[in-house]
Amino acid sequence: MEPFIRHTGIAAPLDQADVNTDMIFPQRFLRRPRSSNLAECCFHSVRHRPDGSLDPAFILNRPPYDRASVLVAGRNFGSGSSREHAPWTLYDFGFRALLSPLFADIFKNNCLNNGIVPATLPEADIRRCLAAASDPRTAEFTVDLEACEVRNAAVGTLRFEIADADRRRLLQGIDEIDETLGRLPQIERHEQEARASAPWNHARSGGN
Amino acid sequence: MPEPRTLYAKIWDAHVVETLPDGRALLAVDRHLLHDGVAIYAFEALRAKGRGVRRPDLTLAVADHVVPTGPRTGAIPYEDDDARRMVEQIEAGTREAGITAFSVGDRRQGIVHVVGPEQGFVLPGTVTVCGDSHTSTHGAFGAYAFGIGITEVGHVLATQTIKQQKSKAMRVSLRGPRARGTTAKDLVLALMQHVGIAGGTGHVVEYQGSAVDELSMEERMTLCNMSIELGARAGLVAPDETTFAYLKGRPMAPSGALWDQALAAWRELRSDPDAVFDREVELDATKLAPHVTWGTNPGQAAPITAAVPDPAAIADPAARAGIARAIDYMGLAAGQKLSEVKIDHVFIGSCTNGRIEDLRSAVEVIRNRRVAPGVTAWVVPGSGSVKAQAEAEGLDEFFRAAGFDWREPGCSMCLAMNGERLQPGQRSASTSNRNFEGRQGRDARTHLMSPAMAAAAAITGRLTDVRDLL
Ligand code: SF4
Repeated sequence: MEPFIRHTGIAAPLDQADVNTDMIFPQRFLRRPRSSNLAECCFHSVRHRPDGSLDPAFILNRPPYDRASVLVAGRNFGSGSSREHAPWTLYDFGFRALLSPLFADIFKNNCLNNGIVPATLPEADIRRCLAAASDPRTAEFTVDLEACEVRNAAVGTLRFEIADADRRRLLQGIDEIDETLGRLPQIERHEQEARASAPWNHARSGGN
Repeated sequence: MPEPRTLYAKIWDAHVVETLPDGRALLAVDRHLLHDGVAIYAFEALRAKGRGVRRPDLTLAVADHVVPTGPRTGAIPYEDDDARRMVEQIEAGTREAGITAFSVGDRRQGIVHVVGPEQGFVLPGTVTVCGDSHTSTHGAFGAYAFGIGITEVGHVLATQTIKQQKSKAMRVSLRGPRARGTTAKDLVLALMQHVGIAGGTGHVVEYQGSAVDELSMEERMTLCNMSIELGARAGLVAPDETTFAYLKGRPMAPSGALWDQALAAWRELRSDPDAVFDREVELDATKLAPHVTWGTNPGQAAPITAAVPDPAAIADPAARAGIARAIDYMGLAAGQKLSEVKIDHVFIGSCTNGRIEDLRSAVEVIRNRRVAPGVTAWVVPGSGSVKAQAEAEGLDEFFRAAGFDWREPGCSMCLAMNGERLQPGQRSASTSNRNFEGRQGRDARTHLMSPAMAAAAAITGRLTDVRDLL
């Protein structure tokens, strides 16, 4: 995973609460391989009209937001499923940072595993960011993970919240599996103790 | 005196391999469930790095998400080659790794959250994970069970651990006995309406109270299943005699001396009386009416006796806009009585309500009645075992006689990922868990409810108070 330090780009305002993963990545695309470019699936149902053409009323279809890399969203962004396709499609579309007053748990984790910054800001700050992003002249945002700051010409500098563990992970771009495999001796020791204290969890019967 | 702890904290503490420098914990995983919707991606990622599966004995795999649920004689008519590949790859990957898998053709195949419990694979006090948000279902057994992403599935396969930040603890107290004609689904829909779809975010919920004590395991699974709809990471019910009676004798549950030993430990698994929860919610289940959803998230639920809300009466502009959008998508009118909403399709199934008791409760309603003209009604059993049990009890005959389509097990129209979907504008009475826009097909409209309520809707052709048919 690529480390994330800071990023500057166009922010798209999506002033809607409870945007769920089905909306971000409709299930009819769930069978697509990761190796394919998933950008076109992003918000597919709301981005297109019933005849299949792009709906100019949807924010991501209008310049400069068609090349947005920051998303300013309402509360409870990413609720619903664990599908990692949601952060994948956002990443393929170009998004590197998301700003919201609240992220759904599993979605947030999936973002962290894909190098996307889920930055939490108070509702009032999000409202200001939405306003700034809505004007193409002030839609450029910088998300600085080192400083935990969002910077923008219209709103100035705002602090965002991110758990220290999450921040470090993104800054370093660590491969979590490699890191854990380095702890194999501890894992094995724990497993041995568990075998002694709860042997039934390690002696599954039946099955084949 | 040791500090009083919640059940969640006890399970957590027992599974911490170590605390990581960044403050998270590395947790040991006891049980991992794998399904066809994620396996192909996870195995690919492992292969790309030349990694193996560390504890194949602790994973159980099933095909459910992309499997068609029409007749299974002859070649399976997959939606497309990608779907076929997903099933082929879960079969190949599990064979290679030595993981037990129930794929199409195995009579135990079915929805991951139905199969895991009925096989006795998920046990009290375990950390149980699956690349699916409704893993919260297994909390019904007093397991700490939560959904993970695909990258994390790879992490679990390679290491049998997961890294996690501890959540806050929330207690939901449900006072019973619950009212006549209501089910666990009505409890959870009422709760959704009460706390909202982000009310549990950042929390692990423990359900307590007399209304919970009296629930069967199937009902507890329905309750815990939809914890994720509250935004919660997991939902838990402390194990009790109901739990133990359900588990005893299941194929993958411990037996003999190991059972006795397990039972002694499981009896200790509960929150200490003085344990402190970060948040408390109470709900009186004694006066509940059956619930249905009218909107496009599960929190947009109401008693069947109510009407579609009027956005104009909502003060907060953002909330007003959200409700107006939902009503518009659903093709409803403000003030319209819910019991007058006509439906096209009935779907009884899913990991929320595709278990044997769910089918029995639907039969209670449809017995000696006919599905209303113009309504298509489906029963998709949660697993092959549920299907076999239902057929042994003759439930399928009642469904068929009433005009229901009796199908093979899978997720089917809960997610419409296998090609089985509604047409644009069609309206369904569904026992699944999500009514998001497009969930059951593009521009399709979903009303969530209990199996008995869905059965009642099938008979009358509109959303119906099941109490009128009992
Ligand atoms: S039945 Fe629905 S919610 Fe349950 S696992 Fe399948 S798709 Fe997911």
